Amino acid sequence: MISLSGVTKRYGETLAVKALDLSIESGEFTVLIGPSGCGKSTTLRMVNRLIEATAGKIEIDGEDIASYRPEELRRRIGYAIQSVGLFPHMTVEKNIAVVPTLLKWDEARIKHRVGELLELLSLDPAIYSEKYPSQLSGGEAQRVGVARALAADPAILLMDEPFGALDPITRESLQREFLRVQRELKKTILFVTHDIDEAMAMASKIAIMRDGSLIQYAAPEEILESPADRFVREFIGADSALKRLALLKVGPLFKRAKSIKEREGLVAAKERIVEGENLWLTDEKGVVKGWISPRSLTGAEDLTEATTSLDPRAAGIAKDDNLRDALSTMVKFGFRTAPVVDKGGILLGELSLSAILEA
Amino acid sequence: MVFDNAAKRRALKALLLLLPLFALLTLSTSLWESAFGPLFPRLEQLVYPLASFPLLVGEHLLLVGLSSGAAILIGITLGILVTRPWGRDLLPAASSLASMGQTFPPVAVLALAVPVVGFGFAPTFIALFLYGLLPILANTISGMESLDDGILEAARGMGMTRSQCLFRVELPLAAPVILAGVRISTVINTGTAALGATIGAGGLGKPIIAGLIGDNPAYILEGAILVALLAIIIDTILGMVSVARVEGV
Repeated sequence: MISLSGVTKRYGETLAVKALDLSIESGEFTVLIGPSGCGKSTTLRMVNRLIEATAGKIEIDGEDIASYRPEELRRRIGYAIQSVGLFPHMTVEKNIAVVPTLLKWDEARIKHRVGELLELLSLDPAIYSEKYPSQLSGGEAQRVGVARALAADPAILLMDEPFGALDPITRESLQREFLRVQRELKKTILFVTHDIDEAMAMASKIAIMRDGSLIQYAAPEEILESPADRFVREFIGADSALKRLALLKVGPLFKRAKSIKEREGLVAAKERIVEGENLWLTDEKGVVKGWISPRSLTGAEDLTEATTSLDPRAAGIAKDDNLRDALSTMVKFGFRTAPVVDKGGILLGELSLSAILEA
Repeated sequence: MVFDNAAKRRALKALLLLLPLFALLTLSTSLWESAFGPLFPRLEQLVYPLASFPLLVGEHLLLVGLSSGAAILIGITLGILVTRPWGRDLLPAASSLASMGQTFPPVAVLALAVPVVGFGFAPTFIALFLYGLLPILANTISGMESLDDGILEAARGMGMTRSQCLFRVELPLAAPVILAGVRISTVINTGTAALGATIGAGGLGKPIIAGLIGDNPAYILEGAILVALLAIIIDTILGMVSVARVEGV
């Protein structure tokens, strides 16, 4: 747990951070966000004492960080930054090994740890260990940067816009990858960004700052539902409703669906269908083939004629998709109700537009 | 990092040619006589007689070695000191001294040193040291100042102490630029050291001065050729060191 109480940073006459109180629970992914100059990076760097606080107290697990030597403190805290800062004269392996080397781990343990970390970040050790930073792409370099921050297995990770300099596609894949890593490792993370979408996608708690003060500190859903003031409302943007949908999963909202197998025939379909609802056509294994509406059933001579076929891989929704993606699929295919399927396309249930609107 | 093995091989080949040639010209007087005899038929004395070439080369190397050695030691140390947080106040002064100092002709430094320390080895050493110090200081400063801020922030942020940061990150990364300064400085010093002969410091400048005074072009050529060869050899060796350095870092 990291707790900041009354933390202030003064540069001459200006206050970069004003009496900040913030308490970060262990295992929490906290994003510090705000416009440039709001003091978010300054706050982050006061935690590992790259910047010394002018006043106030920062404690990690109840111990005042001022009681440590700054170097000792920093070796216990992972640190990743936007410019990555890999050492160009060291191989990837040596770069990742920096903190373990400072901590005087033995060589075998370091080597093992480096391999483990490269694999964790989806970099093949056989290919990447001996490369130099100049031989890496931006995304690869940042993966190494994250691996380096994790090297000595610190409980706390400080990250200052680590994905800020990457192109949107690489950034998104690294975000997703890092979330996977975090689910596995459960570090206490303090993450600075100015990108609200990044904050919403990654954070378990968001701290919004302006002019050196904390404006709102809450879970992403709560910030979207009840922004503290006009500034927060403007900061999260006009599409806050859509952002909220992005945080909700399909899982709890879909319900059981009526389906019929091809061999059961037209009569069974007519018996089973209910006015105002669709019937999903599946094959013997339960893979969705198409849908039948009450209207298409009247006057149809067989089941095939009554069916509008669909490809479950394109038009199906997965249980762990978020509602924003689900909505996008439904708009694209013109569904009021969309099939929820598993990886093999087997029908699990259906998600209706009204369920999304009520969420 | 650039891995320039081809450059290293070229330098090695050049040395295999240059070193025997230099040894031959230093050790054998008959070679000079047979070369200069037909060129200067009216000269009575073809080879500088007052000291043997090995002795002159030794004196020259001692002068260059000591003055450049001191310049390297002090220049790099000063460059490091003024780029530390607590030495930063002196950085502008050191930078302008380093660049201004190089516009001063070495002869002027010699002339100024003589009234202070007298004739001989000492004033030449001082002039060469001061003159050689400046390119090394200038390059050390620019090497240190050109380092990427993100790299230094990462080094500090991961828990390196100031000295770990200096020796593990800053110096290795600034080394190519610093070594370029060392190379320039030492090569210039090798040539400039010949001027020491004018105030009695010995070295390969002696035959040159004697030739100028006694109107003997053979003496001048002997001194000049040996100084030039020595400078080229030193340049090639230092060039190899910096290539090796770039590779090793």
